[in-house]
Amino acid sequence: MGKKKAAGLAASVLAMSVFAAGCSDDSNASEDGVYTYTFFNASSTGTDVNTADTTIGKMFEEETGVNFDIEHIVGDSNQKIGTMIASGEYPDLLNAQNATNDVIDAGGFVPLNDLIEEHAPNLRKLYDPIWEKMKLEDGNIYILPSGVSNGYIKPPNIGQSAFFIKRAALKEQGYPHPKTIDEYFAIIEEYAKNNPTTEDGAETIPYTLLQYDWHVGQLFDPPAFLSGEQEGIMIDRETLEVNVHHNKEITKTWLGKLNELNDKGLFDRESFTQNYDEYLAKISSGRVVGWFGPRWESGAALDTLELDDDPYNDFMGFPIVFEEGIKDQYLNPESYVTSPGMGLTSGTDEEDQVRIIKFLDHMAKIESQKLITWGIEGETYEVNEEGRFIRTEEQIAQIQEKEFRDEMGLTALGWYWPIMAGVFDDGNSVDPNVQPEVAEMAYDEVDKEFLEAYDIEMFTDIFTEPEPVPYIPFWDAVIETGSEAQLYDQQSRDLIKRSYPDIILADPGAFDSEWEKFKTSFDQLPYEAFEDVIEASVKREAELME
Amino acid sequence: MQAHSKLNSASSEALHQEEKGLKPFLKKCKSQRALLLMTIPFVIWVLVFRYLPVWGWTMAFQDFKPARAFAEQEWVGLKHFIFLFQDERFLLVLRNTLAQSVINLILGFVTAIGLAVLINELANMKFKRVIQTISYLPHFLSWVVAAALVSSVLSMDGIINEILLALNLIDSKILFLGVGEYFWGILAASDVWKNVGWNTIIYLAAIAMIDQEQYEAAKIDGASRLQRIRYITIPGMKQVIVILLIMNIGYIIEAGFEAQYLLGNGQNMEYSENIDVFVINYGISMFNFSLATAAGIFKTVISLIFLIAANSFAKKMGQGGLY
Repeated sequence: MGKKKAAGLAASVLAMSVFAAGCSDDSNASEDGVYTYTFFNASSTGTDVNTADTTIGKMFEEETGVNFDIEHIVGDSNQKIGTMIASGEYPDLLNAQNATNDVIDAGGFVPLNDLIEEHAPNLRKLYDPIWEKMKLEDGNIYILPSGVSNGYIKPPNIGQSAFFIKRAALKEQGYPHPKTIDEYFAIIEEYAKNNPTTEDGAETIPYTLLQYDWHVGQLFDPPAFLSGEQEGIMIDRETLEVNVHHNKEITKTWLGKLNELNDKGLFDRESFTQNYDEYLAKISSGRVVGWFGPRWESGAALDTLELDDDPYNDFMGFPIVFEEGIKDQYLNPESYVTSPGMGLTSGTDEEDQVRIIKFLDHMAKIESQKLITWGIEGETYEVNEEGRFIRTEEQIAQIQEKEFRDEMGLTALGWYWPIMAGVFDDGNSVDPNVQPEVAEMAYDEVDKEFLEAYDIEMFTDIFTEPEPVPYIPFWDAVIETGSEAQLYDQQSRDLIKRSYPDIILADPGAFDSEWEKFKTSFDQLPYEAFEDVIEASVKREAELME
Repeated sequence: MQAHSKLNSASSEALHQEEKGLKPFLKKCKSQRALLLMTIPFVIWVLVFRYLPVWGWTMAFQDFKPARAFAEQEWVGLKHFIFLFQDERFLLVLRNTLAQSVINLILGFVTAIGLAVLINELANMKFKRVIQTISYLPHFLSWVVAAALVSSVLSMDGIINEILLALNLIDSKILFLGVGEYFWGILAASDVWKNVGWNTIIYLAAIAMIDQEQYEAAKIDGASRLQRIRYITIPGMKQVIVILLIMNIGYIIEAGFEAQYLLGNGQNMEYSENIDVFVINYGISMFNFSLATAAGIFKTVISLIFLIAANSFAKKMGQGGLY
């Protein structure tokens, strides 16, 4: 009896494991002929959702019979994608963020050229401006980036990098217009002196910065921006020679400014220990007077500040430079991003691939593009007699609510899918927030007070127009797995993470020696290999765009 | 497993008392076949999860790329090991790993044994249960949550700074996580807070095994409470302590990963980065699986050396080892 039981147990364990293995093969089709696929987005955090649960997603499902389960990244994207690569199991659609090239290297993405040419005329048209640029060395297209440029339109509000300062400080000091870094810090110093605490008694934080995980731009990028460069790396306009700036004089100057700031007690000592959440909490608490960075990085906190009832705790961005006379280049020119983007993965059946590409093709139609950007005519926007898209005040208020955007599908189906950037052929802006009529309507009393004080119509009017450059952005260059350039990327980040705090928080007397110590270590890194890779990519892109 | 150890001992001195040869062995197998059958799933488990993956060690000697078949992989010899040992960071990382481990090990043992003895001395059952429950609750928190708690307690506006200021022990607030030298201490303290209660369970069990008559006899002989702890409780736990010590020494190179990863930052990196964090940054995150494997092999070898050394040391001290 005992033996039999034992044998039976062993057999049932075996049987169960076989059964479990057999079950993992699933089918995408549901009973009513609607196909559900998975889309994993490593570029964005957010709520997981099925597209058909949104208004626009449902419309797309009715047209194409396809919907998607969207999953977002939690934690570090490289680790998550690394696991996918190691196991060889991918979702149907994948946006692999920084790891895009590694997935391509591992054969995780399938070439899209023929699929698009054969089944997706609208998609082909949408991507026409960058079709050649999207091809990798092997001639294949693996990923579809978001934001395909279709003409340039200057944004009315700052979405990218700037030196931000609390409006209350500007108002208190009679709307000064800081141009250099010294003027900027002087305003902060003055305000912090007059207001050591906020209204509810918390200590004022004069200047903070974020330095956590991949959020390194607040510390890394200013030297380039302050000297009038675009996109945080130095590229010679004539020779297209590329230089990293971490070991250059401009970086020393920038760190020196922060060192001075720290010496005056104006620099947030928690800058290097806070994580992303703590940083966002700090910004939204209204205690911070100034910081540098792209607006989107602090967006969650800034939106909270904008929605509360104190309009003076909002921030205004300035294009600060080292010295008077340097031409600022903070605004992005028309750019031709090719990575990251979404790609179809290997292991997806050919029939499914065709269905997915047809869905994307439907999405690429101009009327669909208007749906995922502006929403539904008559509900979220109106068209006036001149054919301009406008929004009423109620529509603007409605669209500002996250819940409404979620339900409509504007969060699930906007960016990260094949989407245009710039202007539609009828002259309307693709991004509603960039449409002058909408932006103007969205300005409240206090916004207007500041616009008037600085004698501008839009907040970007104090920024210099960007010079068009064909190789922007440079960060989508392909850095090969296991190459020296990749090693440099990691090693330099580590070195900078360790060294900059020492340099900035050093006693001013020890500043020079700390800097020299860092520079010596940095010069030993293979940074030339990195420069070569970027330079090759910049040159190739410049050539292609001609 | 039972059968295995029997087999092992059969080849040693005990050999003389047992009959040699295949026949008696088969006979014994037959008489114990129920036991043998029961071990099969576990032997399979060990083979599948502990021995099959060893095949993956070949990756350490290749420039491994997931898309390529095994035959197409490029063999590079000891390249990844050389990279590891030549990187000056690696020595630092090794130092951090060992230091964090040793501190955690010693502190973990002392506090857990201490707490177990104290709990055992409590007479009030209700109070005893409450203390036990409270002390082992943090064990069930994930490190992600625990690390967030630790970092907010230690922040500039955190409770520790407030208390120290109120007691006039410090003049200005201290950025605890920003001072590298404090990191090992913070890590060890957080680890004790999180795990001390859980670790006492096994010691309490060991104490429960001690014959109550010994205590009564000691009482009659006039032994004080402290003397009873010293001469009865502690020696009674000795066997368990030694076994746990040997097992833990085997894990000395595994200083943990989550706490260091979550509490680490640029300012304390010189002290927080250990082998596992290094492997994540330079191995997995860079898709350099070969390097990660090489570091894994290195860790296994070190663990094995420590385990064997600790075991033979314990045997020499007359404590009887694991095997």
